[in-house]
Amino acid sequence: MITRNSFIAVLLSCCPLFLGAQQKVSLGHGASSTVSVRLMAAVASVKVIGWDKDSVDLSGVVAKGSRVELMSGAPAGAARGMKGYIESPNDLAVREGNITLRVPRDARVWLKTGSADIDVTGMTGGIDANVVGGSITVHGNTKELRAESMDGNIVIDGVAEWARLKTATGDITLKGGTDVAAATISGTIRSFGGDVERARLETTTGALLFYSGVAKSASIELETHSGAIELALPRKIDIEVEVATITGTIENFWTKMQPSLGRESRGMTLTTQGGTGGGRIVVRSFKGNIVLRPQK
Amino acid sequence: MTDHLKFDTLCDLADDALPPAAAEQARAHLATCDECAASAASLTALTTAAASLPRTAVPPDGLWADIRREIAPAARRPAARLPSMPWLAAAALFVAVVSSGLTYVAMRSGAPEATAAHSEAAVPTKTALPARLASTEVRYNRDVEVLQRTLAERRDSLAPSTVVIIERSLRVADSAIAEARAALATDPSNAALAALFASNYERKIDLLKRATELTPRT
Amino acid sequence: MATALPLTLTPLLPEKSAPAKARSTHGDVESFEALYRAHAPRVYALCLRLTADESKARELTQDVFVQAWKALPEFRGDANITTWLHRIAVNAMLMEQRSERRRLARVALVEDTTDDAELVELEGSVNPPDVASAIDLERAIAALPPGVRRAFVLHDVEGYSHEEIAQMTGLAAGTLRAQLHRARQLLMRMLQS
Repeated sequence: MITRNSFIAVLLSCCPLFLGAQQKVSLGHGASSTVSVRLMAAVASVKVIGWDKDSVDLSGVVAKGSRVELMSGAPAGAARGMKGYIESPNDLAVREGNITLRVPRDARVWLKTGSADIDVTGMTGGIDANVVGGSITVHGNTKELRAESMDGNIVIDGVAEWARLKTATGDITLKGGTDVAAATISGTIRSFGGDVERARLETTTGALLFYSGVAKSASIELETHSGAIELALPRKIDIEVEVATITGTIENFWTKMQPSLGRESRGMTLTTQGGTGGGRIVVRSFKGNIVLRPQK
Repeated sequence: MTDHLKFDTLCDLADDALPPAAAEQARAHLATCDECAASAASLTALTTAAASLPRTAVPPDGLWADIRREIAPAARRPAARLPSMPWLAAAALFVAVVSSGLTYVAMRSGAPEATAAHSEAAVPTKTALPARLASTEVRYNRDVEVLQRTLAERRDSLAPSTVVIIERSLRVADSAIAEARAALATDPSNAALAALFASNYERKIDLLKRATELTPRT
Repeated sequence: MATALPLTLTPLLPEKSAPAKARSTHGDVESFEALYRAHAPRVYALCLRLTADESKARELTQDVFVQAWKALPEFRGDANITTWLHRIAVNAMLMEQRSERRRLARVALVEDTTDDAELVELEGSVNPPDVASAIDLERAIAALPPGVRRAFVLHDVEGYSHEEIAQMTGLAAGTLRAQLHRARQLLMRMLQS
């Protein structure tokens, strides 16, 4: 962890090569395998690549006049913490910046950008990515993943052990996970493939599609105010399923059981027995319609 | 004697929680140590006073009426029909328009007065909640007010496109809250509905919090 | 923030409960009202002391009776009904405190860590306090941190044993003991000063 007292700002070798309105970036420093890297970048795109070297490398092109800094808490030797900034001279210049950050696979990367598209590959440590308008795509399996966007989409093409995903209007796509929470106001949440142990997926008006595998002891909550929910389950599954909608409808194509009317004959409910392994799925909507299907 | 009994030991002695030998030792010490004896006496006075405190209190007015409304809402209106859906939808829409409009105004003006007005006016008496849920909502609205004030102050530093996204999402959230709220007023003991109501609020608060943490020019 | 208790904490007539409870098990709202009238003063008093806040106490009391209404069909009558209602109150308050902590953490306001604070071993003697009046004691109880307050109210005021309190709260006996002793020490210091 970088503390103020121990922090030494070191402007590493930066040899700007002017390419018209752009300048090249090439910075690097030795780092421990679990280095913690914080980067705030006003650029158009950031690629984060996990590699097998014990070093952090920042490269790419940025607009001429951008301020680029990569600072290490250890002037010599392997850094345990690093901090970087890329500031563009004006808002238009942001679009010209495209950078690549290479870090040890088990590193923890904290990344904050405005409208950059973030693409992460080869990381097994931790990612904390925060954008406003850009998208976040993570390939591969990470231990810890936090991704927040306002209207950009989040795509997790791998399985995270622990994931917290949030958007306001962007869509969220994931492949299950051990402990996952995804929330959006009006985006669509899709979970396809992978297996789920614990999940809470919630939208206000966005649709919610759940087609992932379910562990026997899984604890899953799918909730929406008015989005449509579609849940696909294996035909034979030993898990308790409890579905309720206040004023919407429930259609069950998964089993023969028919939903019954809800409280005071409003809305619908459907509850199946099971769950000898302790697993439970709760599906809840205010007025979104809910469909249960068999998994293929 | 310079060693005194620990306070824990005095308490255990007062509660008859010491093994016999330890209790006898403690009592023997009390017989010869004025300081510890005074402490023991004070402890006894405290526990005696506590045990003598009244164990009943007059419940507040109207509490039974609220409880009754919650356990037997239908019994409260024995001959009345449940409101028809169009009426419920119209009520919800009214509240949604009022509350989301005020949120919109708050963001536009950046004025704290607008946010204060929003938190007070967002709950028309037509759809009053039971005391328990109303109290929960008061706490939510307190959080919302603080965050809206912060956001209004920072509004000018955010990109216009970002402001549009936030405003649009807040309107969606407010509309959902209003609908859930209107439904809860007629079905206050519906646990699923209460959970949906709370979730709608929590997503709104989370959105506001994230919006206040955005870096300038984003 | 603890508030001073109202001075309306006055003793009422002894409770009458058994006939009301028996009729209530058949879901009769009027019978339940009789049960409420008989037991609400005891329940409300406990809630007032547990929460140290009138509006929270009102809410909590309402929660207790709503939950009791739902659970009454399962009540076998083998336990004292006051104890049963008190258990519901303690559980309801524990749930509410957990929810409150989560909400506060989300908006980065001050977290309530008093319940989980380390309880340091208490040493030495305490100067004799002046336990002047019941009002001073009520105010001092209201000023205690929630966890130690709960232990003191249930043990020293309401007279529940350690085992009964452990059942109500799910806390280990050692933790309860430490909380109770801490409460007593804090009260003695407060009342002395």
